Amino acid sequence: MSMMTDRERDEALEAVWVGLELDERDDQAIRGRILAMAGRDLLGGLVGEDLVVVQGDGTVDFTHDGRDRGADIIRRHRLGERLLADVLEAADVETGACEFEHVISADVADAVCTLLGHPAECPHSRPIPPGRCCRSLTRSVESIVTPLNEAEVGEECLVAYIRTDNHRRLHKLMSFGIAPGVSIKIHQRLPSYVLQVEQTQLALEEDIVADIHVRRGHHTSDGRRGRHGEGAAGKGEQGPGRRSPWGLWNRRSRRGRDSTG
Amino acid sequence: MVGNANVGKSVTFGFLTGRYTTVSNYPGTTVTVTRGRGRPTSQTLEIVDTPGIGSLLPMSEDELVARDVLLHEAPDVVLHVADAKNVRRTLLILSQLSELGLPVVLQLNLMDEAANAGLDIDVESLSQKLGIPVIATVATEGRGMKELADSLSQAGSVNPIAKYSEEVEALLSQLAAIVEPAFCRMGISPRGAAIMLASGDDALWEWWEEEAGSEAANAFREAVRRLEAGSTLGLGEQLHSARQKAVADMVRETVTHQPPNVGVRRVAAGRLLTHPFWGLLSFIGVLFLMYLFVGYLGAQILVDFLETTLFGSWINPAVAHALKAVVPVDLLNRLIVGEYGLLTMGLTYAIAIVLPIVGTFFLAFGFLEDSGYIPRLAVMANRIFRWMGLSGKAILPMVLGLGCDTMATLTARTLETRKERVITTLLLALGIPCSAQLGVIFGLVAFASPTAIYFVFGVVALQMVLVGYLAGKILPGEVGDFILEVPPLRMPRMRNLLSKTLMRVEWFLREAVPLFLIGTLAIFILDETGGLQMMIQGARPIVTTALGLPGETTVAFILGFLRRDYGAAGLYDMASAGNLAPYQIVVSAIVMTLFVPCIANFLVIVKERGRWMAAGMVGFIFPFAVIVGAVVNQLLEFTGWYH
Repeated sequence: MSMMTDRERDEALEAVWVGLELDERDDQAIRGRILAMAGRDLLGGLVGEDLVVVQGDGTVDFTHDGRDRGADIIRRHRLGERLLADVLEAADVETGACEFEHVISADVADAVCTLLGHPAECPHSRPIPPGRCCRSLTRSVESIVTPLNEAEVGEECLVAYIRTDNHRRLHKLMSFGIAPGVSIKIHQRLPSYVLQVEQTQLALEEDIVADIHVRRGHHTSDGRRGRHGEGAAGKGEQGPGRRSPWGLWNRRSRRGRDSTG
Repeated sequence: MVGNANVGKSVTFGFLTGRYTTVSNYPGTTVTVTRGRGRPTSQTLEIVDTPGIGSLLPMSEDELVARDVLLHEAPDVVLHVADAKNVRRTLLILSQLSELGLPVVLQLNLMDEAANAGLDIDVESLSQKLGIPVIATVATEGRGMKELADSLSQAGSVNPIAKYSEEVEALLSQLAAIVEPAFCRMGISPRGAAIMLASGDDALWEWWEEEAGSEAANAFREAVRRLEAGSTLGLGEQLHSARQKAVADMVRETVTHQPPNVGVRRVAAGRLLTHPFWGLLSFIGVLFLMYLFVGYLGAQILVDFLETTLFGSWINPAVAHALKAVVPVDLLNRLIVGEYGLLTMGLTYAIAIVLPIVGTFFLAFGFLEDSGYIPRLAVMANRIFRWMGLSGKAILPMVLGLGCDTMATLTARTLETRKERVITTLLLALGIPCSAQLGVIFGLVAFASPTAIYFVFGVVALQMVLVGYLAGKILPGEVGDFILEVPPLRMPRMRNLLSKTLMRVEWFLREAVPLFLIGTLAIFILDETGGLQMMIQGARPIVTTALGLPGETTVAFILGFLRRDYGAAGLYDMASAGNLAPYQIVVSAIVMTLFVPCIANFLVIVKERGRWMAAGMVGFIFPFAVIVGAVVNQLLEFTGWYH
């Protein structure tokens, strides 16, 4: 069997989730659902990737990993439905939501969830798996794309875009490797900003840093969260700010943010 | 040879040619083109080392120099020297090289650092994708350098990296046809040239418009306008983003990240050095260590041995004795071994006082250069520099000025605006002591008190900030962006440190010793004709009354016109003989530091900034130095410090 695309995998997991939710555990029924959702039979592929198990009697269940990922995609889908139905008042909720689930990240999902007041059910009255934001009852949404100077020291961010009218500045930043999708981090703010851009360390001033717009709170490469203090952005040498013994400046800015969140 | 700044071009150049050029650990060590011949394999090659670039689109004059070598000298092989830690930035440059159709070999240097950072680069697959030899090296250890030399004959055109949309491609072939006549005979792909012109390369555009005429230029602009009319993005942006995307894809396919295997301590130390508090403390510590090494070991122990023992007890008396016996003419005797004799003053000052001090200074300074400390200093000082109407980038010429103000005045070229260049030139001439002078001042001030060095440089720094602030307010114009790459901290290599120090000592001997002798001759003639006494008398109101110094220091200040370290050596000589009180040492050291630039520096200012500007600067600096000295003298008298 050829490789599954990410999109196909998402659709297949969704199909399994809905089946199990309705207590249809039979592998033939699940196969049918997958075929309908993803366009081809991917049950074997899910088993091969250790997301789903088929017991000897033909009943299907998620593995631990598969359940987490299934919950995640279902959550995005149903939040998408709620958003379209409640906020945008769209007529065709389903088609939009199907697209929505693939394009939004976990953080956008949390932001939408918070915006909607942590809904428990989708418009079709099916349960929405709770996310981290629901458990912590977050009440306000933080911007996901902000100027880099608003990020915390040590926080791992992704460059979204550079916004400046200054052609020379744009070009210079790009030649230092600052481009959309590149991971970037603030080491210190004073006496000058020092940034880590992949393997390059750059010193620059605040007005230039403010031109760099970043996506915040994305998953770091080791799977931990880049935000909300639980894992900070820890990767070996460029460890989280609070680990540094002289983190006076780091801690101050951290406290500032934590009180708002 | 081209590549990003501070990736090891000069080390590689040294390997290929067998010639040593200055190698340091900060971007911008090389600001001009260096040429050399080498026989790394059976063929003799002419090798050209160029200043580091961010991309082939030049942003400052040194980048322009590098780019022009590529465009106008039709190289047989372009050796692209790259930092293996920064494959993305490397491929950005390489994608431009590929479009120009130049034959390239890619040298992925600093492989050891890349491995420590946890980067696993698939060199084989990179070479296959690019269609050129890709050689992994650690140039400082000579690893991979043999293969590099062998691969030079296999250089090939780089496979296209960036893929543009159909519309853009159609436009590019149209533009290529327009620019073809001008670029074809240079061996540059017209398509590549068109891309550079369209990306906003103003310098190239100027050259091309001149070459091709305004009709072609208008046709070019018109074609671009037609494409841009149908899109929300400008052509430059479309080219950029396609390039970025292609590069990002290739990075993803060839580089994998492993957990770093790092000197955590080294990274921590690097960050400590730029910390607002600890960084300042480290700076004071660095100054103190320098003082111990240069001011104590160099200026006291070594000088004491050379001046008092070697020259004072052995050479000078022996020569004096021999001369007296052989040449009975008194005047000739005095010329060689008299009070202002070529041997007893000129050579003794140069070899016995200045040389050990600059020698130890060059060694200590080289250590700082190679460790990567200097750009970290820039991070610390940027705000102060802003205040002085400069961008933080001006710190590099300033710090280089500690090596030699004359050369640093030349590197002011790399600054973006005229305003910055003028202020930097002025401050270099005013307050930045060159290595030789700084070393002698270290030694001189050590006679006063171990803390006096902080007082002296505190006063000098304060004057520079003051003058810089006023100049920043008065001079019209803008100040460029401050974006500076901070290199990793590295343990300096003994071999490089020694080669660099030796090269600089040799340079000192070649440049300075003749001037010392000429200066001595001038003083000798003045003394013989009675002119010196007149000058000392004439300067008495200033030197003795206002500055509170003995009349003999006038001689030192006259020598200071020639070379400031020579003047400082005169003061040193007096101080070591016990003829200057501590407060007099402090005052004279401050005045000598702020004093007029040496002749070589003055000539470079004339060349770079024009006669009137140079005259204006000296006309300001000379009285200013005296006034500051007088004020400090009053202050010391009032407070009783160093009395």
